Amino acid sequence: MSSYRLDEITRRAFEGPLLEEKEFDMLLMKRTRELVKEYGLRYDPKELVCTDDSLADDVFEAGLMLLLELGFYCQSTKRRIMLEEKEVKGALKALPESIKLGCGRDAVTMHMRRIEDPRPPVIHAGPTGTLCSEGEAYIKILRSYAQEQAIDSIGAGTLSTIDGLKIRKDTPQEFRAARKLAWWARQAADEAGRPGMHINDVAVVSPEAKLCALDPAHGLRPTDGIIVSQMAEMKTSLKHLSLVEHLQSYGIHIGNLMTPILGGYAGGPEGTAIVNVAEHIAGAVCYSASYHYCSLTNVKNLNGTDRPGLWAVSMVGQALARNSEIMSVYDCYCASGPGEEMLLLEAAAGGIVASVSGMNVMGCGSCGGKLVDRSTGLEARMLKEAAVAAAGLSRDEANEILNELLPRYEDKLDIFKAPKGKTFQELYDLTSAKPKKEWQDIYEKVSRELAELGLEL
Amino acid sequence: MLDELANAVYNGDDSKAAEASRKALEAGIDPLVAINEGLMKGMSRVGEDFSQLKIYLPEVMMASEAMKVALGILEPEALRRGSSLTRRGRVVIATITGDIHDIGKNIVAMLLRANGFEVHDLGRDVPIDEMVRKAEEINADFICASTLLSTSMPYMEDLIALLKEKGIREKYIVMVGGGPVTREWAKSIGADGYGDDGDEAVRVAKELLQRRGTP
Repeated sequence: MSSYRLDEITRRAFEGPLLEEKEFDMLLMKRTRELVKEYGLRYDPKELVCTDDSLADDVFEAGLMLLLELGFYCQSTKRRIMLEEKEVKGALKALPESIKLGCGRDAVTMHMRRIEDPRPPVIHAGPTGTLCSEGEAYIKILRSYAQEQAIDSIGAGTLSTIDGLKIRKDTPQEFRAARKLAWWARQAADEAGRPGMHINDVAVVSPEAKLCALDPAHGLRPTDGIIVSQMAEMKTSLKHLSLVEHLQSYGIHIGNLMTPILGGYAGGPEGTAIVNVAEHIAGAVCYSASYHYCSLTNVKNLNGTDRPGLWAVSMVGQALARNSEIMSVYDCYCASGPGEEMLLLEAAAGGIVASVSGMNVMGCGSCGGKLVDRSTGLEARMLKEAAVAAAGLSRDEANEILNELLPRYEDKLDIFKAPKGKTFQELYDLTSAKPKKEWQDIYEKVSRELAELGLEL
Repeated sequence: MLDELANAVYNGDDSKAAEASRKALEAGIDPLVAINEGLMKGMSRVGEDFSQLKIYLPEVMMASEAMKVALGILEPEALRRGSSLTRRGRVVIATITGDIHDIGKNIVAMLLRANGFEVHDLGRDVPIDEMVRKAEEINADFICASTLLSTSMPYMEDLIALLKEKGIREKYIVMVGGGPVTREWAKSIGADGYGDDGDEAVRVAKELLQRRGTP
């Protein structure tokens, strides 16, 4: 995107219709409910990957309509950034069909995938914002991802401390954490023998702190990525737009992070799908993002691998795959933790749904993001391999597998019931950053189970 | 008649809630009974069903609106008859410093309000001294802090430290919650209560208040 467009977006953030944020939330809630009714959208728990193309088109149309009618809300100015259909369609038309992530021999190409696409998806792996210990532990955690050959990109956990100190937003410690997160990710990639590997973010909160990670020598290069978040639902701020301005000038990939809340203002899975399509389009137009993280979260269980969540993710993926070049990446957030079969089953289900629905994948988050060091490379390998194995499956075939797979874990998705597993330190050899036999054996067992269901990893 | 009130709230039907409230008064039902045995029961079902995700936030908000409409009719009548509308407890709630995520906090505030608490919602990214100032001003029973960010969790510890520093820790029930906050962590910083979700937060708030000897 040119600065020209960002200037225009900023102008609208100052001159668009004024509305209190609570009113915007109410407006979004009401209009989304209407759109669900108008388009007759209905969640089908037995068909997680919807086979009706017209429904996917309806979700896209409804999402576009929602964005055009409501605008992208700027929290800083309490004004709505209104967009016109013609300019949105123009911006979407200009999106590339593929992008390059990383550099040198470690670079990978990420494609705009389509429904039932036989091309393997790319995985952005890592603790995805969940809490990690600092220092050597963090490097080893990231190395456990980087040395998985299946994995294409790494980043980013949230540090629980820096130099033993608490990390508060907008403090020197947060800025230091951003710099160190980038250094340590680079070091992990180096140690894995993949120095050009794409690093997809540093998980700090302040947009300003993220800038500290930009450092071609030791930190993030223009071939890496940084996440610019949206606030749920359909909201941005001047700080986020300012971050976009600088990231563009640096030339780095921008990842549009959306956390649509299933059960929140958007309501159920149908409304959440509509709202999230709108958020993808807003990210493509206003953030000029290279890719878009669909980090759908259940309002209660803080995961995205339950039936309504997967249905909504699939609808979003299919809607975008049929109607745009917006590269959506399913951010697989799980309820259970490493060392548990359940986490691998959740990852496999997420990988299948995303892959068949035309998405790429990211993950895995675990334990609803509540516990420290509950992230390992192995569950990300499962996410990627399940997604690769599902590439080219028909939607019917995918549904057949999913309907066998979900009953194996869905009764434990409640945040109180989900098994939390063990820490990285308990499950991995801390010298080689390779999984111990215990965790590897569980992986093999789940792989065999999946093969019996018709999914050969 | 009381069922009608409860159902109107549960279904988020403003006009039926208003109509049922008027009918209840005409039928000679004590407005306090109508509130406690009708509206509150409906809202309690809403809380339970939301907790099990049988319904979603829009339905909770609509039920909350219907309840507000009905209360607008029943409360003035109760006051006119000299009934004292005892609130369950006074709550100061906010998303704490450094965080602007407020859906979770809004849900808890809404459910507390619907369960008879007097809720003062200070919004988001609220400095801890502002929360304490408000609690002192309104003589609150609770200070509730929420966050979705690990980088704002230290402010919850600071909140408790500030209350101690001012010598007023014992005056307040402090509850914390939000995405990265756990029961164990809440206990470790000396918070009095924690809720995994809105329903639990309400339940815990009621229990803590009862333990304190307030209705």
